[in-house]
Amino acid sequence: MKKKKIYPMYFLIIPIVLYVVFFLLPSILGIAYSFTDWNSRSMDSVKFVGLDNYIEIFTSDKNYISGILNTLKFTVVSNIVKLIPALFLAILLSEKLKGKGIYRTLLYMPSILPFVIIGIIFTSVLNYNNGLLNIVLEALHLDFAKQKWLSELSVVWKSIYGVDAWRGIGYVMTIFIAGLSTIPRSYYEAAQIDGANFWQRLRYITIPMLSSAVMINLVFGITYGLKVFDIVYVLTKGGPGHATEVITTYSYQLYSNGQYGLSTALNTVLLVVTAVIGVFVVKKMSKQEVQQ
Amino acid sequence: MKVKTKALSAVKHLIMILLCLVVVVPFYMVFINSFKSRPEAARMSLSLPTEWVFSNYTEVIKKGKLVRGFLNSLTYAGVSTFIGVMGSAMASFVMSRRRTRINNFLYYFVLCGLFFPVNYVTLVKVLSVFQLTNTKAGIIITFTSAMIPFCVFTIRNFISSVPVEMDEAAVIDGAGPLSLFFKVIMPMLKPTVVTCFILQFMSVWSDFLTPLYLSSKSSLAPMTMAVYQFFGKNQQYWNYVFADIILTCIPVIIVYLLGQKYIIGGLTAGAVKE
Amino acid sequence: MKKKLISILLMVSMTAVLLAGCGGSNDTEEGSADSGNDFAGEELTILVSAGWMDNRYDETIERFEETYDVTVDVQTIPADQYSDVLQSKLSTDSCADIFWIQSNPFAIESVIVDPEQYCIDFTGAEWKDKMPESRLSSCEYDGKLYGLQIWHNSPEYVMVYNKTMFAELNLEVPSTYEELLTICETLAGADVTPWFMPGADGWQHQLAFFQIGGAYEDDKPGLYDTLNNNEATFADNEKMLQVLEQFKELSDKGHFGEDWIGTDSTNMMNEFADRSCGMAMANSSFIKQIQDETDSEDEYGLFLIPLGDNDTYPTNPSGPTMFGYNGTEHPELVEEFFNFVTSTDSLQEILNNSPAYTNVDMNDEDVEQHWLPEEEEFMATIDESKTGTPVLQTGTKYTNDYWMNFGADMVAYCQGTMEANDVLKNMDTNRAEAAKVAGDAAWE
Repeated sequence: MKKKKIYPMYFLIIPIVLYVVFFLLPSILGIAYSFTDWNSRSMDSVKFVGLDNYIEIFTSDKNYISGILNTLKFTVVSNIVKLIPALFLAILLSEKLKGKGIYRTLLYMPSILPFVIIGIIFTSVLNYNNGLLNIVLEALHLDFAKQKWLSELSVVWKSIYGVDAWRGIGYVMTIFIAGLSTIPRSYYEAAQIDGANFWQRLRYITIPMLSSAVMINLVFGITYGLKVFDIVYVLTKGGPGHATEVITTYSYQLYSNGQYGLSTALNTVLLVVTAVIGVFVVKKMSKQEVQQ
Repeated sequence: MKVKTKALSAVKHLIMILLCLVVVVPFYMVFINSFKSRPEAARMSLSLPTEWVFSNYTEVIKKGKLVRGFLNSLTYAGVSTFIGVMGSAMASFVMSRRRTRINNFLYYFVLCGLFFPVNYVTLVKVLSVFQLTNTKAGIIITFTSAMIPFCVFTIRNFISSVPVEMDEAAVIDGAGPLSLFFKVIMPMLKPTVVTCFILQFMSVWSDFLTPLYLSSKSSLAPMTMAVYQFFGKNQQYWNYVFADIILTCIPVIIVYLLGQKYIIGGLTAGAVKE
Repeated sequence: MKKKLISILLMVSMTAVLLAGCGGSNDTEEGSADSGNDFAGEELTILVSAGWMDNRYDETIERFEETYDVTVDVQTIPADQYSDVLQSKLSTDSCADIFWIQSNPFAIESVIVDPEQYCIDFTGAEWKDKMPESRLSSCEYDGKLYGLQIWHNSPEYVMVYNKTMFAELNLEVPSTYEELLTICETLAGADVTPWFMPGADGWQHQLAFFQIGGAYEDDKPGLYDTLNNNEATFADNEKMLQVLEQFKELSDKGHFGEDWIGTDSTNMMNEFADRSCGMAMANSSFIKQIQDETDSEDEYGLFLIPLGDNDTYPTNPSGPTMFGYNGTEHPELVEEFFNFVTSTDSLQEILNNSPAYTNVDMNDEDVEQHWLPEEEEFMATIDESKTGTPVLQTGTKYTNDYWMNFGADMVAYCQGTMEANDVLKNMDTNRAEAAKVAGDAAWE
């Protein structure tokens, strides 16, 4: 069969054109601005400054470095916190279980809430004095577990991971469920006949066959983690003090103060880091896929 | 044996119920507070309202111009997601089946988009070249273009689960590329495409920043913008805010429920596949 | 099947609710087209941040629409996004016909940057005389009139306190820090949060530092001018350090509430009504809010923030201000709007529709003000000579732009991760950066 005829290139035209003109182009132009002194006062007359903005980022005493480190830490931890439980939940909800449709829908619900709403809800729930969480802990006689969830330096990141997981697990789980649905039952049945237990089935059947879904969740999880803004901003605005600042919150502050060039430069640093990691992950998992 | 599976099943249900509680309680808080008076709602407690204020909802719809906002959101999310997912599916199909150097390059080229940040200022400048600023079309095109990396990435990965034999059979039967794609391939891709559609629909629905920067007319505002009418630095009408949230969430829940069927349908399709 | 049923139920209920709400939103079609004007059918767009217009202008706008047979489209932007959106619109020439900014004597220059390019010149307009002299500096630039500021003159962010509770505990209004500290200890002893401090808002707690600007000026006369000419710094200023240390002391002793950093102002009204707190910084109109919306039968009062033994009044000639966009297609309609909105009838409507404001600060004797007795009582105790210095964030250049950063630094200081002088040093560094970008000669 003639490949050229049944897999025509014109299928690609619309998506590629739209993507290049209305997404890539503005983005790259934006990056170009990071090499200028573009700010709120020089709207029409930007000057080229080369790498000045980038140098500023790495030598300024504003501690952008800690923001970068926080971002990396968040990326790693939030993904672990979300992907592993999501996988088990997906498995649980793919087997025969009464009412699993309802469970799936309910668990997915949090991800439909706009971030600003999540911020409103959880800043109330996590309030030390009247917040739901502490009140429940009190009711269960677990007073010692009460914390200043969003202001105590030792707990604030955990709170962010918690809320982020509350919001994100349903989403990750849904992708795993879609992936699990492509694994034929017969593989499991055969394995069970051979005497494999749950963990062995998991290791030798489920995970290898889920590599696409895992890759999707990893890539999205990593890009989300590196670009994270909303969940941190609505909960703490980068505080208390500057304890939970990430790259994007700094970038946002710079933008709000009119330092557009510097802000874009910070975003570009983020872009490069994200791209390197992302491509690395995709290449690695693609190799696995081919091996299959 | 039976006792063991029954006990296991009970444990599973217990875990799920606990998790669902954790998920549902905040929603319940939003729901119950949407019927309270303003000062009562400010406490954000779980107690029942002392007085059920149903007028919160009508007030919110009127003040927040929610009917118009709803129609706008529907248009943006519906049209952009439909075009974006369809277009990406077609492109992914060709990219996956015909692994030429160009196609591989294009795949990674599109993939890079996942990492690029959005810059609204330059976007507006590009749109103004095409006279698309301040138009619904401009907003829709922006949403569509932005979702292509995600959709291409997701769908292309699942295409390998559709056997090439099906293509060959269809071609032998005399199918051209378009009917091959729509009549044979799409049905097999349903779970993936629908999942993609749902996820993107949600994402566009809750994106209020894009219309904010791309239009100056409030007649183009999506439903999700309305909530900001009700709280600012000095004035906060939490009861309205919560009523607005509930109203904004309902369409999304509907879309998810309707789409759920297809994801479940995928399960049985997989079982048939040997 | 069940899922389909649920979806259908949801759709039906949603449609029902939407239809119910539909009834009210289509009634602006009847306009009298008999005013013989040339604006008929035009649309006036307004770009404003949440909180600056809200519903207060609705009645006036409706009347404007009817009188001129036009439609007015108000785009309300969330406060956090507003400055970004405005800058974006100005730089891409896609701004609304009228736009607002939070203006103060330096804001036109730092926010709009080039008013000649972006704003309609209103020099010579009738309504200029309606604005009080003190507000003109926020509306004019380079001798030309650009902005219209309709705001109130109530005391902003002074201490609001529960008079009844104070009387029960035999407490007098404090005028020095020591007295304040004693009052806090007593209140804490009565199991009440002495000074409710909503740190989680991010923009409130630093008011305690900035509102007492007059105290810094009194301590070092001429300070403001030297700060504006780059001849002085925030860092090493003894009075400022003292105030920061006092703030931290109150925080450390738990007088702001056990988790003030994690608490926002959502529930502040109820905290007062429930008697869980004794005082807080707020606008005088907050008293009206407590009285109107809660069951509290206590009496409330006002006093000046006593940090640093401050006894100056927080004069603040700033407020949300509207400007006409120079690129508009209907400049005459914009001018009509500005004239319309400053008429006595309009001003009265705006005031009446602002439940949170007790007066409108315009030179118009025909407007009936609604001053609170508590406000009048408080204003009577103010010494005129103590009202001359504006608050620190309005009287000094580039300071207000870093409001949030300073607040975050204050929190870091209270948590022990930063020194007080570093908080001040950061402000100096930030101001220097802003000055450099603005090409300010004093910072060359």
